[in-house]
Amino acid sequence: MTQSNIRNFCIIAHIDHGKSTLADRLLQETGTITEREMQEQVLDSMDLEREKGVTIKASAVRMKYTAKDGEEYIMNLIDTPGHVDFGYEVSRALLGCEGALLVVDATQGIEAQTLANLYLALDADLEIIPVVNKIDLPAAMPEDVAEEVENIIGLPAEDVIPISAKTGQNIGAVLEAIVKRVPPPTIDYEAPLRALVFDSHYDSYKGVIAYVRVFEGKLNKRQWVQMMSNEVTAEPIEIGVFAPAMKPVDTLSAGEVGYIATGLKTVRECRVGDTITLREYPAKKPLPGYQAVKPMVFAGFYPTEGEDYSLLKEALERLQLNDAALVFEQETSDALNFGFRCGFLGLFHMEIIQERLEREYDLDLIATAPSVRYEVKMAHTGEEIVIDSPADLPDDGNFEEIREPWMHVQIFTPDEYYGVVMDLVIKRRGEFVGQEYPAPGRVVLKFDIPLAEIIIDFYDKLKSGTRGYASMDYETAGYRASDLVKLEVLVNKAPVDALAMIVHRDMAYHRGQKLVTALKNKIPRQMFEVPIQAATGKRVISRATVKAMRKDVLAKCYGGDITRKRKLLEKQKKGKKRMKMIGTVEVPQEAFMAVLSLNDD
Amino acid sequence: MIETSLSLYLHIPFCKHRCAYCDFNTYTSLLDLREVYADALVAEMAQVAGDARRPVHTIFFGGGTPSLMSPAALGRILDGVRTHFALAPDAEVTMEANPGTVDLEYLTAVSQTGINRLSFGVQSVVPSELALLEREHDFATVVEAVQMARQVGLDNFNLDLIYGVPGQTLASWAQSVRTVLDLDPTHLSLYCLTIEPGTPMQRWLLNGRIQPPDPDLAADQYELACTLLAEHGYDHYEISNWAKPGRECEHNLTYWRNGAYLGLGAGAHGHAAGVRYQIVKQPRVYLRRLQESSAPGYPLSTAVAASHPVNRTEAISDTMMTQLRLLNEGLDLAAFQAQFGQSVAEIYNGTLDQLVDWGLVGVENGRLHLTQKGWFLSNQVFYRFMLDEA
Repeated sequence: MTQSNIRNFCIIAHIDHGKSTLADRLLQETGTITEREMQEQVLDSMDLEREKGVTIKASAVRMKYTAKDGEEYIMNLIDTPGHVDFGYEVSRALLGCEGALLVVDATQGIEAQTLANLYLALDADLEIIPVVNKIDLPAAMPEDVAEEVENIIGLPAEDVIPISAKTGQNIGAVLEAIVKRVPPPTIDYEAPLRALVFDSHYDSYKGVIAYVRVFEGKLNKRQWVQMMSNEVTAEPIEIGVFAPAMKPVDTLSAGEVGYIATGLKTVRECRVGDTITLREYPAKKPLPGYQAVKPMVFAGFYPTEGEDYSLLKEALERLQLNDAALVFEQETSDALNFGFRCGFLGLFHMEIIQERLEREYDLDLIATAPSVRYEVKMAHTGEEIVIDSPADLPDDGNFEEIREPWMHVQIFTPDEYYGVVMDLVIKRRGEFVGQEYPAPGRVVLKFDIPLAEIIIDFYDKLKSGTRGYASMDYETAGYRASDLVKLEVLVNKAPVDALAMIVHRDMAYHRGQKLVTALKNKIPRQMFEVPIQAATGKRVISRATVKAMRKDVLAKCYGGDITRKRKLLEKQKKGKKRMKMIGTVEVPQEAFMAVLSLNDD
Repeated sequence: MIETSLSLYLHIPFCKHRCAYCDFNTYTSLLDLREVYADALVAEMAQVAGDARRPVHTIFFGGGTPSLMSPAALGRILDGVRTHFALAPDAEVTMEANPGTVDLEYLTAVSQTGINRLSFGVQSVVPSELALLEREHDFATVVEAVQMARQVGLDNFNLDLIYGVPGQTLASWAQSVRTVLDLDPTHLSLYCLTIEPGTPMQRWLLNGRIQPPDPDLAADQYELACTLLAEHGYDHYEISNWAKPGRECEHNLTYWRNGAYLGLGAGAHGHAAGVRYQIVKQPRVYLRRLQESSAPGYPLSTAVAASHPVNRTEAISDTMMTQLRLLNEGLDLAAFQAQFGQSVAEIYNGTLDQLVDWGLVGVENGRLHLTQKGWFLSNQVFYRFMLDEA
């Protein structure tokens, strides 16, 4: 086997366009795994991914393929995360490849995410092989979509391969195209080792397993390695390839894709995008493009039962072993007691973490409404502070300026929803930047918008407003000063830190009103009347009242069934135990998420 | 607790039609079983009682629709009671009756079996409300039934009414209460409708055919009833029950005093000899189970579905929640301390203060009782008195 017979490629696709199914077919067609071993969607090994229909972590697999030219090829498929929160991970994974299959749904056409990832692939100088999938469906329009590919991407329509990953139709043509069109890696065996980490996972026996693409040099299994960003060194426990299970080898050479079991204790020490070199024979410069991941979205996670605090801490620590993007620190709330302020790449990342905590660690959580990280310049001292919890914002007048993160957003939609999308974006303080009509009937709308406005149900609204047709991609656009104020909520006259939010001054009244109404409906009636107020500064701008409860009585005692009565009461008591006390007011957990439903307009 | 005398609950699990709000243990397709079922009840008594002939002072036929049983069957059942227990000569023997199922001949025969108290499910006098509840009688039938009952000497009777019915107003409720007061019953039970899971009514609620009852309106209805019934000389002795002086339902008092009662028949519940138990619900299973030999011993029969000894924690919770339902009587603090070796104040220190502070309970003459405000918020009181299992 020579390097000219290696092909490294990835698959770019929008969610649901059939990436995983195509990957399965390729594995089958190359005999990498047999029908019997075939688990649906091998690459998506986490249950959660399977349910959400997306790939969360990149993965890699090595296939052997004997092409029509009679030669045997090693084909490394590097899988990429399919969600916008993981753009950086995608870019790293793409760097490991020379080619990319661009999968487009024959019934849907190109989507914003496809395009975003395509640009990343073009940036990485990859050979693009366009594939139109799902041609078995009655609604498929492979010719139209091929034309769209030509118009938007500039790849000739006749180069587009029509396939059905589901039925396996034309999969052979895809493999042949990879052999013919994707260039072999160009390599230098003699240079010092430079291997790009494009993914990793934590294994309790072997420590952090780095998924690497070796660009230059060679790694022998006995050689110590070094991370170039932080100079952490490690003696590999094992090196190997994905076939598709992890299979140890003696050496990994330039051009190859494989893994290094580093024995390191956390993924923080071996981050995606970093370059691994040899300790004894280090490279002079790392591979380009490494960035430390920065959390963008923050929320407080609190255990429902106070005694689960240490369990939650343990669970977060364990998840962090595998997730370099997750950050957390201890936070105390008057209303929710002890918990953690957690930082995430995006809302989707947050949802995944929350679900994993609840599902895999059996924790009952209250998550506060997500917020972003603000930069605040204090009034008198001129001191700059950074806050990621709304409750920490100093009172109005105590700061000179507050800045919030903005995003460049592009939304891809059929043009009939132009008005709907514009409306949504303008309501969320978005600024129109430009538009393109890449294909008949389709429009790309470009906006700048504060991140805070899109982390709460923006995507859901976009989807429902466009009957699911619109897709969206975003990237950071730096910080901008805004006229923001802290909106506080007082329940029975006491401010509730966990319900505070930061809003634009012009929206404070409207949001405040919605918030108190939402809370009024979520807080059950108590033994006394409970006023709920929204305030900015010291000024109450909105108020609602939860009336005192008048009736709570059990009906007939059926045939002396005291046990049933007792059980109902015990259930009621248990329900009350799950409530959080704000002073003497019992507040259900959903109330703390009331902020999420504020944009129902 | 000293078990001086027992109450017997006899469940009759048959109906011609299941009402829209009902989730009781009753069956509309098993009417053919009625006669054998009566004999099975006697067989169950024999198993439970052995040769002890324990004293009994109240009997309650509940359902279902007990008035679907033939007078002969009722007679056999009561003869069984007299055989296996020592039935007090002045015992209260109540039968629930559906106004539409009785005539003069039937009531005459019933009165001769020893049944001396009736409880009619009136529910409402308003046709639209009766229709929604799927009751198959109209108010004229009730009037007739009551007249016939008096005619045969059954003048001690209860009438059930339901408030908090979707579509019911304060005015229509007042009409129901006033109209049944004209019938001069000795006892009234007013229940707030609970929409139970699995009932047609719950389905209607979910699919929007009916609107959920307004709890504030229900509270107004309750208050109105309290006023009207007090004006007519009824004593509000239990949260949902009113009686003319001396006409309280002795049988229900057993429940509320956390006393001893045997539950006989499919789905019945019992509490005796420190055990709470439940009988299998399905009548056919019940009949089959009674064929088995080797009964577990008093108070259990071979048809028992589940039973557990009542521990101290449970006994305390039960005592609080039952005894406090008796509005005048309340809970005797000294008796409580004597029984459990600890005072209510010791067990519920913070809780008690909080409830007093909210004006839901009060202490008077050594008795803890619900305040007028607490009557209708009783669950808020009771659940706070539920003790966690140690």
